[in-house]
Amino acid sequence: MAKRQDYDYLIKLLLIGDSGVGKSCLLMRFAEDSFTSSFITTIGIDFKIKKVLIDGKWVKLQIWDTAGQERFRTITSAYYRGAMGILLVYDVTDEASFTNIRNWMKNIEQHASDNVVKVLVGNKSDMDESKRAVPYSRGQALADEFRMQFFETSAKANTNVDEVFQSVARDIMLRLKDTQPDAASSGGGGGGPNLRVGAARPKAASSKSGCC
Amino acid sequence: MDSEEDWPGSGPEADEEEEGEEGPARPRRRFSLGAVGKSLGRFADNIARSAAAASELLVDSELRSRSAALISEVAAKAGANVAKGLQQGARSAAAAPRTVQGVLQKLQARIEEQRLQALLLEQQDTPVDVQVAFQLYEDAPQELRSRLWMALLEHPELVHEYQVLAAELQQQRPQPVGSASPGEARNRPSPAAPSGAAREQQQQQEPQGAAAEGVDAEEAPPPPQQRLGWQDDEDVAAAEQQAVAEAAAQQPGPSSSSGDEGEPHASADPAHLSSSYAATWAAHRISPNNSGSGLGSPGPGHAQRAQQDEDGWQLVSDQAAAWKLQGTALLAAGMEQPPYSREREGFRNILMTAMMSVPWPLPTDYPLECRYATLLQISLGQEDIDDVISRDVHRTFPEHPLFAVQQGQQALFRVLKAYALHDLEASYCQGMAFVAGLLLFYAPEEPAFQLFCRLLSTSGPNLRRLYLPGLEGLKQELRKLEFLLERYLPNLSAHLTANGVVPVLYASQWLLTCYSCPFPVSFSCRIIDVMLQDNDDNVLLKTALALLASLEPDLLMQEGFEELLTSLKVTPVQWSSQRLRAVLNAAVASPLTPQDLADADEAVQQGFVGSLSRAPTFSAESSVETAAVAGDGTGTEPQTAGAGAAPQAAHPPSQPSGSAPAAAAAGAAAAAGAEGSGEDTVAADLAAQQQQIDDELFNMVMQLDLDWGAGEDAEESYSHTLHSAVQQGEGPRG
Repeated sequence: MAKRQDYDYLIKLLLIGDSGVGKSCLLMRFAEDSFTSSFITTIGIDFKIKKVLIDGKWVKLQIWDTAGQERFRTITSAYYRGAMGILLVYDVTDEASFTNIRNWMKNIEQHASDNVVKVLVGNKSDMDESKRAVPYSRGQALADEFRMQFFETSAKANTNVDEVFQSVARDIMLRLKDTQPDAASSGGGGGGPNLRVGAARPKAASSKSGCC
Repeated sequence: MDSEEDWPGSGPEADEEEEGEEGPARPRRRFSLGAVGKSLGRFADNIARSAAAASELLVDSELRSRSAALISEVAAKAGANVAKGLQQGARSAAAAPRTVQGVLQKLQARIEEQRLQALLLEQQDTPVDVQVAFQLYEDAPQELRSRLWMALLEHPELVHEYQVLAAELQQQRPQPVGSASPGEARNRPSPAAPSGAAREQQQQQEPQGAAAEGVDAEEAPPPPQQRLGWQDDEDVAAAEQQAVAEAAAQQPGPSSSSGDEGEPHASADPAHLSSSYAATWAAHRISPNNSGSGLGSPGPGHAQRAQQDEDGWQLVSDQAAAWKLQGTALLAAGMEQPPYSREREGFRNILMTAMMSVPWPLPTDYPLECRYATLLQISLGQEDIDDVISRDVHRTFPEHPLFAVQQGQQALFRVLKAYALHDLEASYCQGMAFVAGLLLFYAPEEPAFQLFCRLLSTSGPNLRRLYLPGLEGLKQELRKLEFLLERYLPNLSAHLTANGVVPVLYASQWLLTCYSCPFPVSFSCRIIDVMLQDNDDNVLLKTALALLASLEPDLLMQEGFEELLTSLKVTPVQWSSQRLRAVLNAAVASPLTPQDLADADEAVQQGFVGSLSRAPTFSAESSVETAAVAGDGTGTEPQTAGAGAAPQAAHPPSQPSGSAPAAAAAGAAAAAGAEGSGEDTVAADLAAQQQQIDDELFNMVMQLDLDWGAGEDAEESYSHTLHSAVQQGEGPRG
């Protein structure tokens, strides 16, 4: 189909984490580069698409956003398996959401494919230090423990948001390339820039990691 | 000389003095350094000018020197002042942003407050559709809904009476259609079939349709009791009602024909209204539910829009065609004219009386000993639930003026919290906040809580089951939707399934928020009207089917998971209020029978898993395709009706004779073709096939998940390679 011309890779990502940590805001910031405080609760599951240029390849990211409340896991966990990358999001001002990351990890172990790329995301890093409940070091330590990358982000201040998604996407791409370089590049050689959205700004906020 | 022309009216000295004083006065301009600098420049300018002027004026050398000294003295003094002022100005300028910011924030807050207040008032004045028993009040004042809900709350017996009456009337309902077989399990689609078929004819055969409309145009003005052939001996009552209605409804409004139609039905209402209310009321159109006018309301006159065939079924044509509301039984049902009955009118009058006796304005306080107040006093060990709920209240209708402010959010919080304490098992579930919010739009806090309890109650609509931990109830409901979709919209069902678009992805929100995500509040509230009166939540599934039926033509033209899902989510949000109204009309008058729902229930109980675990396969579609081919032969979509309404369509009851009999026959044949195997057999076959392939499919669903929105080889290979790829460890470039 003509669609295939639009991108070289299709990567499916999943956002999980407690209710209210800002998953939808992160996604909104990344996919539409906007932030609004008047969000509605995510009910069930939703997805957004964004095409980005990574290492000269057009990557279509299909990103799934999930409801955070515990009881929705029975619905959302069905979507773990299809995810190539999972962003575990907590709120740096909310200790419980950080503690719960371990539970989310269990969910991943149960439902996701074994080798899914994971990344730990501490959101709301723009908040005043006095409100911070989880220091950067603890986030980093947890990420190290589970051998995943760690980012502190702010959807509101647009800090590190692109980096997180790009990092996950790049990881996945590399793994794909390694096994099937042919298949990976067969998708139209960077064609179809006519259809892409914003894309390609790898340098944007790299200096700001772990801000505040 | 230029300086002469530039002279100010006053003398040079006076000028200087003024300027000299400007220094100390300068701090008043401290908000802007720029302004300070600017006035400084002007000051120096003036000094120079004054000096020049003086030297010209004072010819006397002595005077000249004195004045020069004076000028320089004053200038020096003023200069010092200026410097001082400038310093002060700089300091103030530094402090200014904070002060200004504070002031501005306060100002903004006040403006926002006023904006919200204005918005709230505006929204409260926006007319809404209110479903009162069998009747839709279009563009009615919102007060009507408040009164309705309060009346239903205070008079639960009315709900019961309504149910009994509705059941009786439903049995009588097919009678107008000659061939209908009352009491038969699947008889309700029957009225829809002729309507749908006839409407299709009309769409296809414009001249005849137009002719029919012309006839109808002449027939339209008389009271509906005469227009609608099957209506019985209500003339006296109708005349009375009409008299009252005409007296009250002084303003016919732009859509007088709609009004004509509505008045007799709604006549009793104005009599019960307070005078001010009646005035508002009269300004609004009232029209009976399920009628053609419901579909096309404002727009051209009813007579032009609706065609009435010989059965008395009113059909809406042109607008429906414009919307591509193609002839599915699900939508056609919304265009039927319901039979008139004394019982119905009687009930509506009783309900109206109850509504009008609701104290107004609604009292917002509540007794301290009531359950709501008691529940709210419990605080021990509630931190967790408090936390969970408070995370959501500001994310519920955040744009609406009622909930954009603390007050509204707190009321919402209290209602949800009280419920969580009232029902420890269901507690709080995301989605509830929207339903509670909808109630708070029209009811004060305490009654809203009671209404919420009623909506969730197992003895009522039982929304509770949708929210229980594990969401099994929701999943079941989604499977039921899947089942009904297959039965009523087999083409669409197959298409969506083939593309991996499963109800959990689009209908979870619908069901859990009573459609308020993403539909307008007014849409959702009419659904709540119906649920409160029906005392069940069947309208939720009926609405889903009506929406999907209305979307069908669009969706069938699209391919691909992402496109379909996006279209499903985005398109209906852009629909006009008329179209949304039409969809709800169709939902309220849905051909779905209790039997359909029971079938769906049973199928789900017996393990119907729907596409929750179904992958695109040809075998699953084959039987559906058979029906589709039969339908396609006619160029219409009778197969959708065919699945449900085949028996009736096979004997087209009384099609308007002479109007496109060929098309009618074709439609009937198509429907009959679909019926060929017997609908039960078809359903059984489907079920059997499904059972058979379920295991296989269960494995494939993993595939499906992996390939969301895929379908392209490249993507597949990515998915497939992911496992192995990832296993091979980190890439060298990582």
